[in-house]
Amino acid sequence: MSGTDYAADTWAFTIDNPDDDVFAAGVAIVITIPIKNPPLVQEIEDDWEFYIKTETATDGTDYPTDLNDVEESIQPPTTGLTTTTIKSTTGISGSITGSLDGIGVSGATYQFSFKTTNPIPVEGIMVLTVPSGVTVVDNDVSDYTVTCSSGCTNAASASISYSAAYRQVTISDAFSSYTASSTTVTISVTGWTNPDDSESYDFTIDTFAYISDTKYGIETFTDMSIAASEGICYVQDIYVTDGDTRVYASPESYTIQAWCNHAIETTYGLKVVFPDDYIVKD
Amino acid sequence: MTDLSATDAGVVDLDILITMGFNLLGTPFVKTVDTSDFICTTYFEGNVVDTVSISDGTTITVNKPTASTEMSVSLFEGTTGATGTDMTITYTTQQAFNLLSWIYIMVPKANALYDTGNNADSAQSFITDATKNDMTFSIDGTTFDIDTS
Repeated sequence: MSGTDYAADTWAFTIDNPDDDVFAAGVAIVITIPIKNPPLVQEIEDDWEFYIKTETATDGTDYPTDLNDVEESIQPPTTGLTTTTIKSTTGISGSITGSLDGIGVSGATYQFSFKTTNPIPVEGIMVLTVPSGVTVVDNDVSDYTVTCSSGCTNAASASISYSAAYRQVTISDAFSSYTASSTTVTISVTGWTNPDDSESYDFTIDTFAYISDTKYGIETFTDMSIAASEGICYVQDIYVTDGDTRVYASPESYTIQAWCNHAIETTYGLKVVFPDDYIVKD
Repeated sequence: MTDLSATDAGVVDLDILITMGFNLLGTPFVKTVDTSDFICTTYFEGNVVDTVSISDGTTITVNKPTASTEMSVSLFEGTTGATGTDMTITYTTQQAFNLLSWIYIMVPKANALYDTGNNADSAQSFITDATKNDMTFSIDGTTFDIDTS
């Protein structure tokens, strides 16, 4: 995908010179202009020029209609004409939605939301970096799905790729038109495996303009965290299986009925703690 | 100087080639001057003897100098999309700068810069109409107000 070439912007002005000063050649003109930085880290090349014209008919204060060339600059060196730092913004939220939020549970849906400060062009892509605690199933994009439920103007046609080395999901072609600043973008991923503990894991999303096989950074969204839940199980009933409830009886088994608010994985264990009045034999 | 006193006045018919040096300031802009605009007048003891206009159709063209001086643009600093930073453009004049001088600056609206509004097809100019009005200008260390009217 290549970027769009836009026309240069030329603007003119003169100065308020009440004393009709005349400055000889060879003096320095210095113009300082407050600007808004470019929205992405990209060198600004070409189309810089400085030139001076002289009025031949008017009085020097009204916008002249009859100007004649006097001199022009040569192109300045453009190397390094770039914004140096990608803007960093705290994301709105990260969460595990639905009931598959337990520790180590597979197939959960993670949802991330952020609001743009810098706009995203049609050439924009999003790169989601996955923390090491989350298992990306088989590193294969066919094993999970990524959807954009808001903020993407071309969500249905978006495509994804995954870099196992960098643990990064790249979402391309999600924008069919310019996306303004202050747009809330929401992305969901379904199919990964939750962390093996209840610690909080931070995800980041970077937006880039992807032009001619080069990524130009726009904005980084941080602190979108998810945490797997320890969950809760309730003992609903417990009884001696064969009904022998005599003192010092030694029944062979107890039956326990429990309800858990999360899925039970095959890797889970079960621990039963009896009250102190019971003598648990080896 | 040639002494003409011994010649017979009235029959003198000389081709005179006069080469003189003038300390002139050229026209302040590109202009083509017809040589007929130059007038040569001869005097004798304060009285005009003859006035001659050169009208052979030749012209003198005053050109702008070959571009030789770079404009300089300061580095952008800070973060993408940030406001409150300054861009500084410097240039050393090659010609006199006076009351009639106008400055033109061409800046790129190029590549993937884009508008911060809702116009998807517009490139972003990081120098907006608003920021133009806030710029400062100095020449040879003297600061002047900008007049964009």
